[in-house]
Amino acid sequence: MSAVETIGLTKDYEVGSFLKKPHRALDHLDLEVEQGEIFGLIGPNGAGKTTTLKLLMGLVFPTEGDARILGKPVDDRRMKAEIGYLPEQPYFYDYLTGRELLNYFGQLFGLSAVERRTRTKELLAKVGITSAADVPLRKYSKGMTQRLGVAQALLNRPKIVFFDEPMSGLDPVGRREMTLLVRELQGSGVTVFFCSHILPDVEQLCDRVAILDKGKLVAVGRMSEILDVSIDTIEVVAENVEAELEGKLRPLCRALERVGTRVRLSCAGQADFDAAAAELMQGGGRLLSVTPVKQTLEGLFVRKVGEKAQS
Amino acid sequence: MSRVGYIALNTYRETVRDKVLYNLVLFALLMIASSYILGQISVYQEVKIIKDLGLAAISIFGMAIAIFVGIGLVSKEIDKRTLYSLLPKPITRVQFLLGKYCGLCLTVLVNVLVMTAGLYFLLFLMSEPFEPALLKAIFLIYVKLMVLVGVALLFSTFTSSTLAGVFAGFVYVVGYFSSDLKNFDSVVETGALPQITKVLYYLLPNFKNFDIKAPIVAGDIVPMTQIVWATAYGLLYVSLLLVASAWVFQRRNLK
Amino acid sequence: MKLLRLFALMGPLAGIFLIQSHIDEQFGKYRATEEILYVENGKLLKRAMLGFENLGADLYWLRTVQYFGRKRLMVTTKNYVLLAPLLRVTVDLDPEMKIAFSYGATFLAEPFPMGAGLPSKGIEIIDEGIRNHPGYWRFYLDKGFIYSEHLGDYKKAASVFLEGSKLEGAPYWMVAIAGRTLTRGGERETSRILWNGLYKSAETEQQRENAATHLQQLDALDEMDSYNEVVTKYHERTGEFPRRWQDLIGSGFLAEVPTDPTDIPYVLDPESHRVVLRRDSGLGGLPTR
Repeated sequence: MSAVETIGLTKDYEVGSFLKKPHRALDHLDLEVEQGEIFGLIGPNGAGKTTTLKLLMGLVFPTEGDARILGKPVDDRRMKAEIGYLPEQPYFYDYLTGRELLNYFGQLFGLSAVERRTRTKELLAKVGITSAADVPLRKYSKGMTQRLGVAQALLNRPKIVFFDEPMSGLDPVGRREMTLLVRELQGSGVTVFFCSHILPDVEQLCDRVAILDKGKLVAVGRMSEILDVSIDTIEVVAENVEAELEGKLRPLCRALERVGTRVRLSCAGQADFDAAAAELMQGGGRLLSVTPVKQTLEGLFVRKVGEKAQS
Repeated sequence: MSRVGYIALNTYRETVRDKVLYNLVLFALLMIASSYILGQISVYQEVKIIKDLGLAAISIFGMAIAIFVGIGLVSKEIDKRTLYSLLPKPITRVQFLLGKYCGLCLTVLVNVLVMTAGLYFLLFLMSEPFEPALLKAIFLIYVKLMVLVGVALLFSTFTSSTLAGVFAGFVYVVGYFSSDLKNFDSVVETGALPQITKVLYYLLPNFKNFDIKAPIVAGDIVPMTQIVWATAYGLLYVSLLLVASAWVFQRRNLK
Repeated sequence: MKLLRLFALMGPLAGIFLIQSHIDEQFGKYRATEEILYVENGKLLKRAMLGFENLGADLYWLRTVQYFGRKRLMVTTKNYVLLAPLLRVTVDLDPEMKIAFSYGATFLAEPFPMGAGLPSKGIEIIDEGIRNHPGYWRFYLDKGFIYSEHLGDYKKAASVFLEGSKLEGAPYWMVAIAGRTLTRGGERETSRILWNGLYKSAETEQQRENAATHLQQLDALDEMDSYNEVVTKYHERTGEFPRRWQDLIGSGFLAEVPTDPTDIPYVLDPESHRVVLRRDSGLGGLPTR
């Protein structure tokens, strides 16, 4: 049984106050997340990431298609007791203290009073806001609220956690802690599903990744599959490149940039590099540095999204 | 304790920590106290005026709390996005609504009790014997407030706070005069108008059912059966409002 | 599922309808209006209305008309307890509402079941109207009328009519009525002239209908007189009193069963041997002349 499954999940919104035009926020998304994996959902703004999460959490209803979590429909109460959710830029009842909020949510999870007390103490310590436990939430900073958000998502020892931009509002130390937490969760067999803008984090953490753009699924797969090693880039810095030489080099590179007296080239793969290097030597240019650059998720992302935009 | 109970208690806690509430209660107690001064002006009528004003204060301020807080019950949670972390928990949307409703009713109850205590205390200071009959009138006022909270909740599920307030206030005014709608056929004999007004009369909440202030203060006996029936009406109307609210809210997409 | 939802909505609605109907039936149709009984002082209410007195007056006038109702003329088992306080508050809130004074004078003074049977209250209200509108001739007509037809004080009635007839806008026949009331007050013909005057100058449909009913009553009295003469003639001729209409028709005294102006047959009272109105005739409460 997969942890999360969406079949043709579609969501249309009506935009405009008078003549309502439908805006397709999510277009027939087919996704499957395995239990125990760390799964990342990425995409530019408005791609449909948050919409997907909202559909999974039952906050909005699909126009078409279906979604299942642990094989159950999204409004199944027993299933909801097994999951944790951290919304983007979370907001909690500001008249409650951190401890009171965790206690309240614990009540809703059906935890006993003893369990609530223990878990609250544990989690407050784990996310590092014990000192602010009895301070009303309206006095919390963004980072503190984010940490509390993580805490409330883990109250019920969930089987799956859904994080929407978990790193937002955290300083570098906090982000590092978050990364460790995610790894730890995976270690205990928890499935982690998260959306993020911060691609290096995703690249670092995720087993599998899905790229969304304008509501459509653009790519999905294991990190190693997606990042095809054969398309590594090689960065070259050279000087003494005259205009004529530049003209010959341009078709061999993916990008060519003049920086003062020097020229920076990006070549796609070994073959192109060899050709460019030869051309350079012949044309009287001088190689200053050669740096192979591993394909990054960011690069792939920009490319894929760029491709889509062009097509 | 059930989920509904926890949500209700949390709602109650929210209102209790809200400064607006205290201002309202303070005003109410002031009004009751000032009735004493007014009472001194009117010869032989001090007690009657205190009772009249006291009951009116309980009614008006109860109404203010019911509407001001009621209209935000759902809309505020949506606007502030606190609902986002709440609904994915193992609760249903209906439990959420019921919890919010009961929580506000609890708040209103506590406030009514405080104001009642204030009124009786003032009467005690005037050396008036304890009169349980007033409690009948106050009880029906509370039933009326329960209906009003339901109205505010219903509007809160689908409009913004301000609009909900306007609508709820409007329903209160119309509901107060709905009994005048009923007898239209005594004035206009034919045509669709009397039929329409008759339907409206039954559809809209008839708040006059709960108003027994005048006979109680005058010392007349209001039969227990009338109170029972009025209460039955109120509770049934509340269930109608809750069903309608649930119907609306269960399909609502949160932005 | 949809069906269940619909039922969940319709169920309470039906219950609400039933309970409300029961409440209205059990505790009085005008129960909500009964608060007026507790308003001791209309002036105080006026102050409490905070500038909305005219609206309040309109509301109470609406309630008065609803309470008294158009159908009420034909109804026999109602009490008009709320009529006086409703009118009282209406005119307290808005003394400009001349119609309320006039209406009040008419129907407060009318004997039961056509009105509340409180002529003194009617006088009270019309006097208040005169106080507020001293130059308004109508009120003198209404007032004099109460004295004449409901209180039997013809002298007073005549002097009131006379006073009113001098005011601007007063109809030409008001002087004549004054004179006639003085000399022949109490006579049927005088009443007829008075009611005719009221019929012509009536402001509301109800007052016009009321006047028409009274005119019909007078016609009925005339008719009953003539039929009584027929009964007497029969008795002289046969030495017996007719027991049914058939007796008179068979013996050629009458062509058919006589009916009153509302087309309800008259009845031969077996004990007094006089012609009377049938119990369900709408002209009940005949004047005794």
